[in-house]
Amino acid sequence: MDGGDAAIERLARHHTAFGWWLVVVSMALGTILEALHALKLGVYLDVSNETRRLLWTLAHAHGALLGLLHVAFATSLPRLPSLGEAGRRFASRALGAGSLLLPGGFLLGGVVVYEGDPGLGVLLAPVGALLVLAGAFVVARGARAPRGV
Amino acid sequence: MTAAGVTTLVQGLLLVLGVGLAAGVVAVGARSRAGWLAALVLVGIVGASGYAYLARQTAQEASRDELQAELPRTAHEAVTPPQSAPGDAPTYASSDRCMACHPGRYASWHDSYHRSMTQVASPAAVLGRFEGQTLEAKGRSYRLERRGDEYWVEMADPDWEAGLMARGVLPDSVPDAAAPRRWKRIVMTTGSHHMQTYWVASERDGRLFNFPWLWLRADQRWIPREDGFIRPPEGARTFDVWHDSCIECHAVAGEKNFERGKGWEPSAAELGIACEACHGPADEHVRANEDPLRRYRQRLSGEPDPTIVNPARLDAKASAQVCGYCHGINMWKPAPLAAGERFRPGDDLRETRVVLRASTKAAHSSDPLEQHDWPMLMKQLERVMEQNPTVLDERFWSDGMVRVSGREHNGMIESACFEGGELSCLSCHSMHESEPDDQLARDRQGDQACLSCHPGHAADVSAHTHHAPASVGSRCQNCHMPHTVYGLMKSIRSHWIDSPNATTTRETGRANACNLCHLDRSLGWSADRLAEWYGQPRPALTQDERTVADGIRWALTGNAHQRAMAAWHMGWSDAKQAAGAEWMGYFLGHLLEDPYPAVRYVAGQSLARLEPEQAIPVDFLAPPEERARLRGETMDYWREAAEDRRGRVADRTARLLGEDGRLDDATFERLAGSRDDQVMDLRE
Repeated sequence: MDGGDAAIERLARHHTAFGWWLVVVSMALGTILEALHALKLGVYLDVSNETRRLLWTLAHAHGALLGLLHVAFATSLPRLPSLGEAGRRFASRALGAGSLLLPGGFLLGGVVVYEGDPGLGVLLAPVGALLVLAGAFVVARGARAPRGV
Repeated sequence: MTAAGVTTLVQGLLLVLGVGLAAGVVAVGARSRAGWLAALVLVGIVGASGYAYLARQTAQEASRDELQAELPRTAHEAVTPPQSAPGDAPTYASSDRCMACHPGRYASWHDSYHRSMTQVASPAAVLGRFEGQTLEAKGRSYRLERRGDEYWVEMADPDWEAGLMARGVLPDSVPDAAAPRRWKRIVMTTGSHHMQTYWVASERDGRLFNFPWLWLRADQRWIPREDGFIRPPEGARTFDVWHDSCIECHAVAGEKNFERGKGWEPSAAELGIACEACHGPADEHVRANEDPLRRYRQRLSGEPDPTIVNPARLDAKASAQVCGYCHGINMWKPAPLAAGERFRPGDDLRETRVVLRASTKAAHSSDPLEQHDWPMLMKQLERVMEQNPTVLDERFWSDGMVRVSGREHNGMIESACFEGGELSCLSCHSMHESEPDDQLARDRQGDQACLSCHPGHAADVSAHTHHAPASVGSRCQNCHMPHTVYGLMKSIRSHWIDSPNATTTRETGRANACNLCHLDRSLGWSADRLAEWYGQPRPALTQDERTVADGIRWALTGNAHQRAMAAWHMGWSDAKQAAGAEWMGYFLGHLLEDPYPAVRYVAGQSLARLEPEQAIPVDFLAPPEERARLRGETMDYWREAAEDRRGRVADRTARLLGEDGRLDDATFERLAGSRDDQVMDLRE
């Protein structure tokens, strides 16, 4: 195993662990949301808290799917021939930061809601979305065959 | 630059920034055609979002047209939502637009009976049964039918009847067989809580005529409209037109727009009492808050939004006037009416309307506007009273306390709590934090509403009430807001907050709070307690007032309102706790033959509460001979319960019992024979 392969291996392990932990946290959030349904808590289910319910559901769903995205990224790292060191580093950081900001923004935005409007925490969500988008784009580009092959 | 200009500039900059950022993120890593293609896709997405935003704006412009298209043609023509307001007048947005930003508020309103006060007739709105049956009353027959989602009635042509009325001929004077008959589609409904009535459209001028029957929700039956009110029992059928008066309060910004010679051009922003009825025209508010930056700035500032009225943030009097415009008796002032000025929430109601006050307090008001209005009020009243001398009696007790339901503002403004304090409707009621019945605020149930301003009484309730703290006699509202108002076939709490007073009862004929619980005690008994506990002077009383239980006295000798009030209280749980229950059945039985259908109905309801599995089922609309039989059988059935064979009744005389505990029939007959048969016509 050369230095490049070792770096890829390290990065893959990091994203595998990160991804699965994100899935765990998001599933735990999902379980809590189910409990809120079971207990019929007005703070979550009342019509006036519809915005909170939407945002926390989005946080749960985005967190779980982004966790799986990290696992997929880790799995595909050895098969991204055009993704250089810089691209890997950028994609890793963008996906990592985006995966925290996007569901985190939804979660925080639902803590304090103003009737139909989310709390200011939701501002983190679009930043996270752009980072995830950028990371995914760089990874997608890295999947193409190297020039001349 | 205007605020709107700044908003547009910020929105433009954000759009450019979004497009640039999206394209930049892609282009930085792009070294291939695929990368640039992706950049183009992103730019396309942002562009499409911008287009969608603009399309939404256009759709909102057209939303009112769509709303109209949903209305059945006849109702649409009868009540046309205004396309635009004249001049600079603010325009209405409709409740649909409020939902997106205020889902909880929208939902609580949607659950309310305000929302369903006026509805286009549809299966979701119509409560009554249209099953091919024929209804008959006052010589007219009506055949009901449902055709798919439509409701139809075959009846004497209402346009023909309106023509007769215009010529001064009573439609009832023409036999049903001679009347031209028409199938009319029910286009609109009024009410949904206690009763519901229906409207059919004129084929001549689009006016809506009342289908003269009511559907009683609790009883699940049709009754002639007149029988749902205290109206002269032998009076003519009422002939109501929705545009005449209903439109002003049962729709948002409803206006009849009648001009002599030109006819009717009614308009309304929305059917039912919707968001903008209380919050005012909201179009500007909606447009301003499409800007998220403004929304957050506004929310975080904690300041009221100047583009909308929130009655909870108005001062107490202005807040009360928002409700009082409809929940009150008031008349247009001629000058503002002619000038096209209209009351909008947040305005001073008294600038456009004269609030009718029949109490002597009004004459001595120190309020400059009321002083100014007083001569005008008197002049208008004189004119009205020339045509209808009983106009005040139909609405007020003789001391000016309002006596009919739906006019709570007139009662409240006479209260000391309102005059000198901060009392408003929202002190007890909440439109959004309450149950639809009565809409009492969840945190203001029971004594809480009063004790928030009068905490001193909470420490030692009995010292003030002279009743056990947990008893119904210690509940603030039972003494200070007794059920002396009539409406919706029941007694309703007075909103003129006052204290029980035997002299007032003597002078006005309005039972006091003591005797409305202690139905088995005389007015003299209450006068003694009030003198002993509160130092009130004892009024000079007649023998019957001193000795006969007030509940019995009003039931036997009172006028129709007083009899209905006695009958209702005999079914009231608090009164039954204070006065016992079963003895009342005998007197309720007597009221089953009352000349007023509404009194018979209330008596029947109280009997049903006394014995839910009724041994003798009663029907308040049964033919006269059947009613006589029901009265006799019911009185026989309850007679033993009314008597006192075991010597348990403290005051036998009050309960019309002789020394032997048996009913004193002679006194009963004497009192029943002196019934006050003045014609009552209560305009609830």
